[in-house]
Amino acid sequence: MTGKFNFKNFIINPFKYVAGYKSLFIGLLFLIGSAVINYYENIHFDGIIDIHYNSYGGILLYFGEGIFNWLLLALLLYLGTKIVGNLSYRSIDLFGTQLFARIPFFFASLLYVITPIRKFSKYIFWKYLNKGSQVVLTSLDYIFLTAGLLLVLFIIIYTVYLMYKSYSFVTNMKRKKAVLSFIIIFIIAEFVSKIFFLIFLPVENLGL
Amino acid sequence: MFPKKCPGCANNLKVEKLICDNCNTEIRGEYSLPLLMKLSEPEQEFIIQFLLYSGSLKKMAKKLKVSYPTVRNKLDNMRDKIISIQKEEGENDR
Repeated sequence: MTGKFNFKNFIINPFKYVAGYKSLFIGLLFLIGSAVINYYENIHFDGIIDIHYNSYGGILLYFGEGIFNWLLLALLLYLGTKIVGNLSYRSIDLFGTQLFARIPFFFASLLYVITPIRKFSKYIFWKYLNKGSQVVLTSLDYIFLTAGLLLVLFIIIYTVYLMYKSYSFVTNMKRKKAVLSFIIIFIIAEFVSKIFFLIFLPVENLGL
Repeated sequence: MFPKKCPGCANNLKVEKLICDNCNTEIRGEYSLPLLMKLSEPEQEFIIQFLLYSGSLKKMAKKLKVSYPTVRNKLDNMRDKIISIQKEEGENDR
């Protein structure tokens, strides 16, 4: 077993190198970073893996969304391991790496800023919801928009992969058991988060 | 590297002869390899490191520049392997 850092290995499984309080601290920094960007750019993480544009709420709401999404899934996974079997692992590793797994969402927020995704969201609001001022999209906007949306999609897929990797690696669960239990818990978490955001952030606020 | 598997059929090898390099006494028989010798070299190295760090996985992880779960998983997987070797040996002895 060597501790030599390898970037490819790090991308495939960062938790071989980072876990515990270290992952919690790094994850928290990126969560704060995302909350700040989201606050200024009106991006909401209103679900476990949801990213939407809308202008409402203060900075605490943006920070709270990140904390809620992280804690909800981490708690359900933690409870899941108690049901699945007698697994010996440190809970700080599960909670820390789950927060670390959300780091790619910081880059999704950045993509909203640097690509025309935000402009496109404003366009949708203006065109179909009669909100905001007129927005005109150029053909170049559409090219960068497509690229940006594909990157965001990739980020979401990679984030889910990291969430699974954190769960299976930290608990050292057998693959079949890990995949099945993760899928079930993940669906429950997404469902609960959507219900939660619909209750506490009513549809009229979402403008949808 | 110490050979443990037959290159022809991949069966576990046994020790047939032991020699004293001082007086050239030879002991012949059919001896199974000790349990620890059945582990791979990296696994044996891991056990040595584990003992040298007084069983502290935290210290080991820090020194090896890997995370705690990495070391912990390695230990758990080795424990499972040792249990299965012991089971296998138990079945062979019957």
